[in-house]
Amino acid sequence: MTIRNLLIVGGTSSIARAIALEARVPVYLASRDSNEQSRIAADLHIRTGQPVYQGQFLANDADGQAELMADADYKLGGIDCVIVASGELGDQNVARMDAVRSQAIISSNFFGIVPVLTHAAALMEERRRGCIAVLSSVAGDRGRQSNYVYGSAKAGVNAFLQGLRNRLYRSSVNVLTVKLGFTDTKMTWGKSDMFLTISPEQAAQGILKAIRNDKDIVYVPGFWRMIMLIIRSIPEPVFKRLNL
Amino acid sequence: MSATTVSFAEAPQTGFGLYKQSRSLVGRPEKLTALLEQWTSGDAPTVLARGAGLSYGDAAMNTGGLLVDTTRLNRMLAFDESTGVLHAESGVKVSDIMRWLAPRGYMPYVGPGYSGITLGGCLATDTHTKNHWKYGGFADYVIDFQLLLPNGNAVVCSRDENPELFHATTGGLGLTGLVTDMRLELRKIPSPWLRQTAHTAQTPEQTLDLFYRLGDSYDYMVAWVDALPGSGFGRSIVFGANPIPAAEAQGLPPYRHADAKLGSSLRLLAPFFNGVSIYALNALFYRVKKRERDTLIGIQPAWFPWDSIPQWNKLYAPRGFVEYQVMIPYDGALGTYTAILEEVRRNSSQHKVYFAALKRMRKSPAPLAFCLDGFSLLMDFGVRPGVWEALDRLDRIVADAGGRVFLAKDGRVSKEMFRNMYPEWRGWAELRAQLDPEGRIMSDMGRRLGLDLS
Repeated sequence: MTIRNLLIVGGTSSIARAIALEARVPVYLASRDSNEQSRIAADLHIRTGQPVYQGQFLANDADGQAELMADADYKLGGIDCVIVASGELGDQNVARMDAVRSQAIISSNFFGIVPVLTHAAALMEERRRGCIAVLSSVAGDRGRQSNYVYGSAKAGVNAFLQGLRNRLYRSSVNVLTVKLGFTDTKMTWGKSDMFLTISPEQAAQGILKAIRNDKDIVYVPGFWRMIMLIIRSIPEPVFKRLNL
Repeated sequence: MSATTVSFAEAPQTGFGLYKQSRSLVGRPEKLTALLEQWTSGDAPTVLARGAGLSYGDAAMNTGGLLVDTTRLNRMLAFDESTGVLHAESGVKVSDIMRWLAPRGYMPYVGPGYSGITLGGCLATDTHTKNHWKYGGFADYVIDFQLLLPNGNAVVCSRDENPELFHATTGGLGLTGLVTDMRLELRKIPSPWLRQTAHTAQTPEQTLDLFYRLGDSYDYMVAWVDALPGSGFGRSIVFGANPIPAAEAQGLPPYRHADAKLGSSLRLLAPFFNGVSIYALNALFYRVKKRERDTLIGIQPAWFPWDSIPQWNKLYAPRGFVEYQVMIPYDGALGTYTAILEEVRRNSSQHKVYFAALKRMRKSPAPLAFCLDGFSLLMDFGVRPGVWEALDRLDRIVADAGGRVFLAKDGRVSKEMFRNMYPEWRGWAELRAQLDPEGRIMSDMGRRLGLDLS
């Protein structure tokens, strides 16, 4: 579909910023960090000349997220497309020994965005138009010892979106699952064993193209589809012995 | 938020000239809070701000220390179209301004020859372009900036507020702190087009004379100099250009910033880029370009000639090259210029000048800034045995004439020679030592030139 405007949840992420810059449409940014967000909003407005609105997004705050949806819908004159770009990689080495950290990672990546997805679905289902895109990860395709906490949250998101896509199909609302590979952001900076990383701008182009083409699931960049196909096809008795 | 959010990468750096390398911890903050955390982290003995990392030598290096990469703190914070004043973070690149604001008629008064440089980098080197004798340097259009000191405190610097620190930081190679954001006056341009005319000169005397004679007629001037031994040695083409008025530019395409096409594949051409092929290129350039009369030229190729081949340095792979750029003061300019060319000719069996250009400058008010009233000559030498000694000999000619080398392009000048060339260095270094008593901020260049008095 043509993108007329965007609500970006997690508006301070570098991928979110690249998406807004590339789309050049009116944007509503929502995040926890209003200080950084206002700098990004100013930047987007100066560069694109488009209106940029702002609000607060707190993971897990169901009421707050309902208010956010209403405000964005009003200011944008009907939300066209919601992109959820919030979440955190977390430190698996800490999380594996720390139950609270583990829960927090799953919470910010999965539970925390459930309200906004629920509200967006209701709004768009009624209007029979719109798009919901969530930045997930290839990590959700198979649990691995090195990042299963983050990965399982993303797997949960992926399943949630599958169901949502199935439900909203009849209402002509598209749901896009973006399975990102390694992107050159603060999430991956300084981490070892990163390879084939792409820039936030490249990621943004891939995501916007998938939205415009009404895709269901997209790997960004595309070759991750092949990599994950291979990784998923390894039988569990073998996989559990591997050091991935 | 946990204290473990600081994350650094251990990474190698290479100067644009390819002959200087370093290894450092590198942080690349995406938020101001992360910037402050990294800047004051104390995880390494010294820290240095780094922008695009494209200075030619060791100015953006800090071996064994920490580099704070500012390229993700690149937000434009405010822009007033009526005054042309842009408030932007220092990681914003000149190309960002060109891409987004030039189509609306705004661009910097002064910029580098490649638009991929950050505003912080432009400020730290007080970069210049082909209009310096008329318009001055980049810093002349900086209204104020915020400087992060080693202790994490930020101070505002302008010509009224902390003026000493303002001038110490412009051209100060990042050694006074980290500039987080600045207010910069942009120029409203009548059109994104210039008209350029070529004037040929057969001798150094004629070359300088053209600069004096045509200085009032043009906004931009640069001379291509033939410094390859042979019958054309010392000849030049002096290009002069002026912006085209809006009325005349009607019907011409609007500005559209073009991305670079040719990348590191230029490395493959490096074996063919040598003392033989350069003769053919030189002769061809002279024959084609000398005919230019009122030729229409776009702002991007005129201002940012390297945008089309940003990785041209790879032509000199693997050993690299030195872009030797020096100031020649007006006083005795012809004698100095001729003496430099003679020395180049004497060395030319070993060290050929692959590219040479001449510009006209005026004195900058900053103590470490490069520009003086005079001419700036740049010459590209491939790195090969003996080149360092050959450059040392050129240094002596330059220093004796009251000239100096451009530090943003330097990775080899000696401490003693530097002190000769930049007599204001001590006052600058003493001010620096007051700001940074523990010597927290340092670069490989700073260590090489003995700039740390703390």
